[in-house]
Amino acid sequence: MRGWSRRGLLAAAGLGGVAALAGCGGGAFQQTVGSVPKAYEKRQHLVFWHSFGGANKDVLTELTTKFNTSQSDVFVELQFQGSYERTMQKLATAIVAKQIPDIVLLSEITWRKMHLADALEPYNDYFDDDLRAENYIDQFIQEGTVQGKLWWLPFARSTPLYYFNRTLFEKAGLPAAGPESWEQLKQWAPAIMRQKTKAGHARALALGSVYASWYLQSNIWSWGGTYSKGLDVTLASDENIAAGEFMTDFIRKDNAAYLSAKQDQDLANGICASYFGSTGGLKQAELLAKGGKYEVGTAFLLKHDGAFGCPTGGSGIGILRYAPDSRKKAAWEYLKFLGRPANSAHWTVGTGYLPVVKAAQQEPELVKAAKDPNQSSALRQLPLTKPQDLVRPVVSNAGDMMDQALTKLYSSNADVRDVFGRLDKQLKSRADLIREAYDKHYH
Amino acid sequence: MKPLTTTLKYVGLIVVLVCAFIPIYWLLTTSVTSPDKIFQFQWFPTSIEWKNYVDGWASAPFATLYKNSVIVTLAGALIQVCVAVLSSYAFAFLRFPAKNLVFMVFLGAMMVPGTVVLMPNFLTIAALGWVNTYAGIIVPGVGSVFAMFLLRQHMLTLPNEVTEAAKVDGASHLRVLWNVVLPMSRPMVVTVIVVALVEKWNDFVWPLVSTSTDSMRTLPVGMMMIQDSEGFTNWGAVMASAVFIVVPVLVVFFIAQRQIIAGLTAGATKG
Repeated sequence: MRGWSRRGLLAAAGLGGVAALAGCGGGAFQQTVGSVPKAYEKRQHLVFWHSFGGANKDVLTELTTKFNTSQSDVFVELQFQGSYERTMQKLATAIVAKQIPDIVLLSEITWRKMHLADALEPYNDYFDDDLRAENYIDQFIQEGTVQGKLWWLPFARSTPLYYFNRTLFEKAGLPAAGPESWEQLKQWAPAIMRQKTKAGHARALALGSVYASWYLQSNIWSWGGTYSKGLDVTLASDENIAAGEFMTDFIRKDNAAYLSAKQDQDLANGICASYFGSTGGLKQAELLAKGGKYEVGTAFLLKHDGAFGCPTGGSGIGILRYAPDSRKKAAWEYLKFLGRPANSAHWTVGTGYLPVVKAAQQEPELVKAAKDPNQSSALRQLPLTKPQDLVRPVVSNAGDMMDQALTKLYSSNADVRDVFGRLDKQLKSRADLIREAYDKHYH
Repeated sequence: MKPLTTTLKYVGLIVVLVCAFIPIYWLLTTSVTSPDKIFQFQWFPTSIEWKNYVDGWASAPFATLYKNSVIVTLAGALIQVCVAVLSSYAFAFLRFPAKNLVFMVFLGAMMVPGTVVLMPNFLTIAALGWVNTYAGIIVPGVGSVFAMFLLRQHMLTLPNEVTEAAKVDGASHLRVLWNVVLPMSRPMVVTVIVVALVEKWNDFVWPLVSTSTDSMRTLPVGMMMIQDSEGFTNWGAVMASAVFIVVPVLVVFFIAQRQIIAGLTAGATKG
């Protein structure tokens, strides 16, 4: 479901949406259509557009119902709008049509577009004694802040994590804690690949195509490089090429890694011994492990030469600038409710997203869940993470272009220098398209 | 020689049958496999897990989704076919200025991808106050150039003598359409109806964009609500829900298939 169709959409929504917004002035904005149950008719009605499906939707619905019954002034209506990209596309259209929601879930990429289009309300004046910016994990606040103002409130945040088949590692006589560095994994790979599995033999590592550039950000940092400095693309640097070549050697020379369509399912079927996944995928991975009768382990991302890097991802919440003040204030009451440590902890335990509020980690519900070593790896890794380099989230379609280039590297004999060089040029010309808007907002 | 060709024919038929049957078999077996076993490769389920159907039904408001899907599909397909029949008759049998030019413009519209018109369509229904209504979902999709084109091409192949004879007998255009052209175009009309039904039933993006509340959503949108790309998805429930969606389409196909064959053999003019 997250394959190619999203790429086209993102291109259309990213470029078209922002361009359309730029030409859009003030005027009378209405709230989008919704439905309010009889019991809540007299309240301030808020519409929240989100992208959660499955179990995550259930937890959000549970928390929202709790909020609606906990007070008598505000009614929050949840409206599912499909993936992050579709939600942004619809939001862009809705703003042009002047029929808007009040709060929107935005991914680490889509909020940047909405911020550049001046669609978001800064949070700074809303913080009060009940909820301060300092209550949230510092990196997440730092990521949502531009020019001293917070535009994007942390909510469903995640980071990459290393998942491995612990049973297989132990069978190969390797430590149950998993590898600490790329060098170690490379050294262990032959022993891992000698073990018999359901599929014959497992490769040491499966690499994905979706969000490949998010995962590779870790390698880029630990090899001493960056994707970009601000909006200046630095993709073709020697450090980045060295990081890319390590990966292609691991695939082509060591035959230890490969491009996979579904890494977690490959692990379940003994096709790979490890992969990188989002922290949000833990519950699925554990269910697969139960069915496959093996033990799944999680560990920090891998170091290189002692250096470590891990980007943050996932989504947060934006308030629409165009909503009237009364609804913005009501929205803040709801966001404060979600930001209570107990609710943040409940969200984390139910979904696998990271606790965004510091105090959530002392809540009994989360303390209990964190006794599971797989859950706690993500929590322990959290202080070491930081926001990704700006080119990927800010430049239209950059993430998809980078993912496509990496997919090509992982699945062909293409030369890293060529691929990174070409991508560097493409991203630079794309970056120039938004430089004016960027300079206005970021300097 | 003859037994050999018969054998080959049967082998060919069996291959086609297997190719068509495996995805359906896979859907059905997966929908009764316990979620933790779904990604373990197995040809036959070791145990039957009906709970997936209960979970699937409970995970989205399927009763409402069904109702909306049926309304949107039937009304949408019916209006679309009416519009297509009337307009194709006009293009095939009426004489009016710039007919070919208008037809070319219509064909040109076929080349425009759906994603491009998404935004203008939304702005239009928003201005009309049709967001989150049946009219908003149905009306932008009723003009299908493809259906009109198919019917027009078919109508052009009908022998002129028949329509001329009807006109000589004093039949009006509507009467010619109803009593002469339509009966002779039955296989094509049935094809257009089936295509329209399946297209409306499966449509995902437009119903997602044009509606907001759960009470107006259709089945494909409901499918999206029960899976999450990043987090946990109960694939057993998802597969069971897919069965809910596929079954009506299969039923329509089985019924329409007989119609298509009947139409093909009984239609056309007498030799």
